Amino acid sequence: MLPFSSFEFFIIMAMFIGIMAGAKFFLSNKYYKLVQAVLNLIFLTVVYPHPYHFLLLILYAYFGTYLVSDVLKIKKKFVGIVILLLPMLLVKFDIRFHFYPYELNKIISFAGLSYASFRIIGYYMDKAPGEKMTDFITYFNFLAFTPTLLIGPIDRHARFKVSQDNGFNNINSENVIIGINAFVKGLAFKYIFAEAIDRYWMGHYPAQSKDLVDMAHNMYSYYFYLFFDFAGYSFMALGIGKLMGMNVPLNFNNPFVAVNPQDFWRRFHISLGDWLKDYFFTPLYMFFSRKKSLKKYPLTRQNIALLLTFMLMGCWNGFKFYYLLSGFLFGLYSVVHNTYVVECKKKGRDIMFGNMDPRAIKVVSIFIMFNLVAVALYIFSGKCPL
Amino acid sequence: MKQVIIAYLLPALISVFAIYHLASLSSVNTSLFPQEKTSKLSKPCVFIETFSDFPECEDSFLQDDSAGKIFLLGSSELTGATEASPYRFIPEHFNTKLQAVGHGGNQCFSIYSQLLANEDRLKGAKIAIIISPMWFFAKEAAGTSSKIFLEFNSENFLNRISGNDSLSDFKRYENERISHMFSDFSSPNFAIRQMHFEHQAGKSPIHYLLYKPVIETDKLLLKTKFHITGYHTDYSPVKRMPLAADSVTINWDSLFTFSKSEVLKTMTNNTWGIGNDYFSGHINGVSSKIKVCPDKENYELEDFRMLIKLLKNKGAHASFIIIPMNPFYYTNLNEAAPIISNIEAEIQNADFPYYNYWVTDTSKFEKGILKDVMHLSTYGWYKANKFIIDTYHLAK
Repeated sequence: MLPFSSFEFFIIMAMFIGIMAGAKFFLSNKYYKLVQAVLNLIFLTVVYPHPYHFLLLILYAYFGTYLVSDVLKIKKKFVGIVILLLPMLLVKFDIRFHFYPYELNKIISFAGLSYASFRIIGYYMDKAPGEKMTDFITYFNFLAFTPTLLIGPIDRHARFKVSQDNGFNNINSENVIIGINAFVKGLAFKYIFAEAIDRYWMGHYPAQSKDLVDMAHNMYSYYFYLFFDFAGYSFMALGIGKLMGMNVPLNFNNPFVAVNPQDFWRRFHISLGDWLKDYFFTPLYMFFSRKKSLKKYPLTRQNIALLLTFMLMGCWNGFKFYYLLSGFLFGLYSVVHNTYVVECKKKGRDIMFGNMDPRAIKVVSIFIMFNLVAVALYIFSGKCPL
Repeated sequence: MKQVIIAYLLPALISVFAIYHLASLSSVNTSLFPQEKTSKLSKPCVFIETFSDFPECEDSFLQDDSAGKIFLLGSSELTGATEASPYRFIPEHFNTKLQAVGHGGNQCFSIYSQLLANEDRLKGAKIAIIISPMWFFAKEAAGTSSKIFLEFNSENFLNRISGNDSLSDFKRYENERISHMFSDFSSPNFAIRQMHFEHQAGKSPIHYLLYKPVIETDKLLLKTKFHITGYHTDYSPVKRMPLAADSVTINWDSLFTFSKSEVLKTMTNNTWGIGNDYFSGHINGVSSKIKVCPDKENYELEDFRMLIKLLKNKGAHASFIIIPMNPFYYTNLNEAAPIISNIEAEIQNADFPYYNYWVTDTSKFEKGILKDVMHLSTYGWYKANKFIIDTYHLAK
């Protein structure tokens, strides 16, 4: 059974929350991570479909990180990233070896591999040279925390550890209320709104139709469905996390009212946006900054880094043309917006809206952004007939 | 904590209580969730390609009407009816009815599950099963696919198995296989989940502790659902009628000779005994080999053993027809012979009548039996019809 795949998952989570709440009365905070590790291990080995695959990945990632950063002390982070991403790259590229005639997918592919890989790279990038490896139990919990196991949000190790160290203290009335609120919000998003869109809107218009009205229905319904489905999962994960004493990061915050691409990624799949900014965009920008040929062109540097970052985001879902195109579009939006901001600063005025009423600018911006995102996500869905 | 109880838990309990009582009102329930009316049968359930397409035929499965009935179960052979197809040929010449169920992929576990769901109709049921050897080779040896399984095994059928605790070993096997396929089901229904959890719970004490509350909650919810919707799991009791032999004389020899010559007329562009269209469209003179997998990885073989065991245990009047494969096209059929011998031995041990068309030697292969490389021609079907008619003594 995968997390959130059926309501029985919630029964198991209720048991876990009960165990955590009960343990709070008998154990001190230092035992919290052990209790959580036991519960995570039970879920992985008893409930999860491919337990050994995940456990092996965690072992590989932990000792791989140790080897690369503490034993071999490889300075070029890129080499370490490739080594740690190897299982996922083998799956995504569908690489096969002649001595193993079957698809490698069968042995190393499992639900949650992508999100685990995000966290593995996150920890490796955050780990300073010479910094002691985190203890294995914390690392295990970080990768295998049940509510975020499958589709995030993508937590950071430092944040996770702080939360874990205060685990039992975090189980209090205030957090229980926040947790229940988030959980109920997630339930409503996923099982009422997303379900209603799926049943009564999405798919009611021919997918291959090039009629504008049909395409508009398919495009908007997919955007709304994706948001409510994904945000629903994220809020449920946040809620369950809170009830178990963990602070899971917020992943969605009213993305429909975003006024520009930058604002959008601060509201939609926030943890992915932050991850890409910190671990790909910033190092890439720094790399370009060191290039003599690009030193004079900060805007170009930024824009190239932005475009590549969003194309990577597209590729992450798979090497399909529509993923790449969708990533490229999101990159393009950011590049255009970035150029616009720089130009406005240069000229000291808004080069597009001029002296228009700020409230009107906001409404127009929201409208434009909403539709641009809908187009990019429509392409991302692979259902765009054009 | 007081605030949590008053502001959250108490309203939640009141909501659940209110929803339950609201949903229990049949007027509310029926207006919100109107039950799909079972359409009146426009024609008798003679050939059921899938139960999901013909749910109204579920109740007629393994049920005799005014006279005795034969049930023919198989896979792709059954589609594409000709005058020789048993579900057309037999009712046309005899008073006995014949109901055929299946299409491509309806393999042993799917059949096993359909029969297990109707286990109290098995005693004395005349069931002929057409075994396609291809089920036991290549990827098919992994057993019935989840998609095909669901086409033949509705939630209604599966609930009967899930709710029947007297099935012991048979139910255990069903649970085990369902559990094995579980990750292939995109949104498994209640019964499938229940079977999977029951199998999981038996693995270790930890599994038991974790799954037991889940199983008990599910049972309670299912009971509540049945109570609210007025659903009942019992179904029409079995009416087993004897087969009445007819005074029909069929000149089999001339029928065989004629049909064979007609089939051979369509096999002129090759010497392998394959229909012209199929040969030019799919074969083009290129032979193939079948992939044999070891017995221990052959789920289909294990499914077959359980199928035989079920039929024997429940006293069904079963018979089997083993279809051949074209040895000109499949050049390594001798490698497959042990598996076919195994199947034959299982049938013999259970003392069920069978007809085996299988040959590995090209010199023993009768051209005209198959229309392509593994499906019976009209001539092949007439031979199968004769076996069914003789086995169930339809002719005086």
